[in-house]
Amino acid sequence: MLAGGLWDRSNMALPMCGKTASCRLFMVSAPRWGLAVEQVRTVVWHETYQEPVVDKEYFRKPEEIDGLAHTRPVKSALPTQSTSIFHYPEVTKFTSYVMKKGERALARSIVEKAFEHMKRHQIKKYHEAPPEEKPYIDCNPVRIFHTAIENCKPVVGVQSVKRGGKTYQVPTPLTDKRRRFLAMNWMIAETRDNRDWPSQSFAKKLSSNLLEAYQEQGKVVRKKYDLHKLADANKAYGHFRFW
Amino acid sequence: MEILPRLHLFKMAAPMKIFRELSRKGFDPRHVNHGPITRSMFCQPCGKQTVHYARASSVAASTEPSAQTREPVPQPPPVRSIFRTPVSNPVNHGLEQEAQFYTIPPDEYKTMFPQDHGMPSRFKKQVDTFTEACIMVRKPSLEVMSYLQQANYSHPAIRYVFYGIRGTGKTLCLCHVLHYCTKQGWVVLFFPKVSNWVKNVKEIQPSFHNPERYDQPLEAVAWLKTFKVSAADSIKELQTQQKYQWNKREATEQGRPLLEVVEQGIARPKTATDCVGVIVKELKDQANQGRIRLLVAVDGVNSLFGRTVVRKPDRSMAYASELSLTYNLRKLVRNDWRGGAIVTAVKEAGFLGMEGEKKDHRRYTRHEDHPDIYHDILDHVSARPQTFTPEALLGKEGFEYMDPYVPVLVEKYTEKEIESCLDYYTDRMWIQNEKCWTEAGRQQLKFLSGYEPADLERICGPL
Repeated sequence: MLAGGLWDRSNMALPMCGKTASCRLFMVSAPRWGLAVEQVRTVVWHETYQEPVVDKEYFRKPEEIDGLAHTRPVKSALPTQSTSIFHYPEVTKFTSYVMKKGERALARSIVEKAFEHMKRHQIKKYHEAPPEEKPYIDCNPVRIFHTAIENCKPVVGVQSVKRGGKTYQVPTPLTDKRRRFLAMNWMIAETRDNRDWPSQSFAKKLSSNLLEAYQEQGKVVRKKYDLHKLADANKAYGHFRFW
Repeated sequence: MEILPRLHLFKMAAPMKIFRELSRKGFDPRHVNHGPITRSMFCQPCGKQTVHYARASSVAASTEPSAQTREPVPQPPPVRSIFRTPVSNPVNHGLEQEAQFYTIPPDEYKTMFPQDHGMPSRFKKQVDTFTEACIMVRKPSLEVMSYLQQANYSHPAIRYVFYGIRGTGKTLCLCHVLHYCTKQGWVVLFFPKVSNWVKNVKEIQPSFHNPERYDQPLEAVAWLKTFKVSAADSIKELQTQQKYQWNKREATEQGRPLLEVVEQGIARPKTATDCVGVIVKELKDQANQGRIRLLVAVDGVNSLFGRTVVRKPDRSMAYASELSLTYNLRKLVRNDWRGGAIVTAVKEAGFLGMEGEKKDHRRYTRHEDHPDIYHDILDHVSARPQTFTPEALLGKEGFEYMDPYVPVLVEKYTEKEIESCLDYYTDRMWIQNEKCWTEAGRQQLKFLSGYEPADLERICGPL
């Protein structure tokens, strides 16, 4: 995984005393997926700083000294980046959604506890199952998590559009990011205001919700169906879609 | 309003139509990006982070939950080494079983540790999850077992003290020795987690015969209940050697079975603490006379010589010897008797500290050579004395009380032990991540845990 884009490569020969970030408003960067315009108003790094590289193999290779790349300072890595082989970007994203007030360590421990609860539940089921059932019981919490989130992702959504003083809910396709956002945040919201089990810990409730969603059951999956129904009911307003 | 023609591509109620059409054909529409060109299409190459695993259920968006598809999940590879021994009797354990796991038979586990009492909390959960109780045969417990085999029991009882840093398996070594002695037909007095008796005190009352001391009826009843289950067989034939007057009306005559004393304590919580004292005294006497072999297993023996949370009526704190339970226990770890052994463990966890000792709660400390530099106290090695040794934990009084004893160090896992442990976890499905089954994953687990048994178990939790 390379955290930086092409930008730092292509601009290696930039003069060190370029314009300061304060007088620029946008920066044209060239990440892998094409040209993009990024805001620089709140960027704290000077433009000469390089993107950090989060890849162990990159550093195993001997350093190539060409140009001035090795003399330029490097931005600090994001807390969501890791070189661990147990690092899953989806799980990290979910942890960020669980997090409140920037307490990432706490959020991470909660998510890990939830994973452990799920795993204990499944492993116990596995050991108590008859031998022919065993290969079909999935105990991997990360796999269960991914499947559960995948099951909660909506296919269509709605967007409110104002026409003639009225607001219409117009069915619209969703981007992958938006679908992931909806699925994860429904999961967290359902867990937070779980009224059936108020005294239970967040981790425990989260694990039970994830296990339910893994089997395409439960409140979160029902929420997805509700959105589908809403989009279906409002299909008459489809022509309001101009984007 | 003029609308750019390029953006007109799908402007009707297209999404639902397409979705239904596709799902009717059995095509998975989830990964199809409907609609015009969006930013996320550009993002595809680097946004391709979704791990596509086997789906648990079918795609069709039916409202009723569909049955899980019968698709076997990847199973862990067969393990490479011998990590489990069929020898379930610790009497036969030797160095050839070292670093292997042995299973305590479930019925024996239930009688020895009723309701898992005395086990570390993570191990309790593990027993529940794995549906079996497995303990690794390790060098420290083998060492103590060989001492117990060779000891001369006409001499005063020898005291063994397990010590080591947190989470290295002192309690489980103690339980292994306890299983060994039970198998030999010894009478076992197991006092799990003594720190609970001085720290998590629920209820106290002044003692019946000595107003200077305080009874803990609830703790005493709980202990008597477990003792009744675990020692029912071994103390069947024993009888009381004198008459005990519990209160004005109730008494136990001489020559009654000792189990009657236990029953008395459970039925009358007020006298439970005295019953514990009587059992301790009786068993000590009978061991002295050579009728039984007695094992005294005390987990967290340093709590017998430290502070408590109990406040006396004059608002001063009670010392551990002022609680009747710990007072009786202190008499038991004294080696003024023979015909048995005392196996103990000293623990940092739950220990309230010695009397008059000031605890260092600082998080930062000044460096010795450069007083201007502040150090995190955990980084500053010389600022911390070794706190896990028996001398440090027992304190001056406890050390003089326990002297002489045989210290047995429980260390972190060795290379052989951690390999065996990882194999065991893989076999029991505790390690689920495919990456952990590779050599690189095992290396990373070893690195992360630092070969510490409790940490290894904890780190494998969410994996």
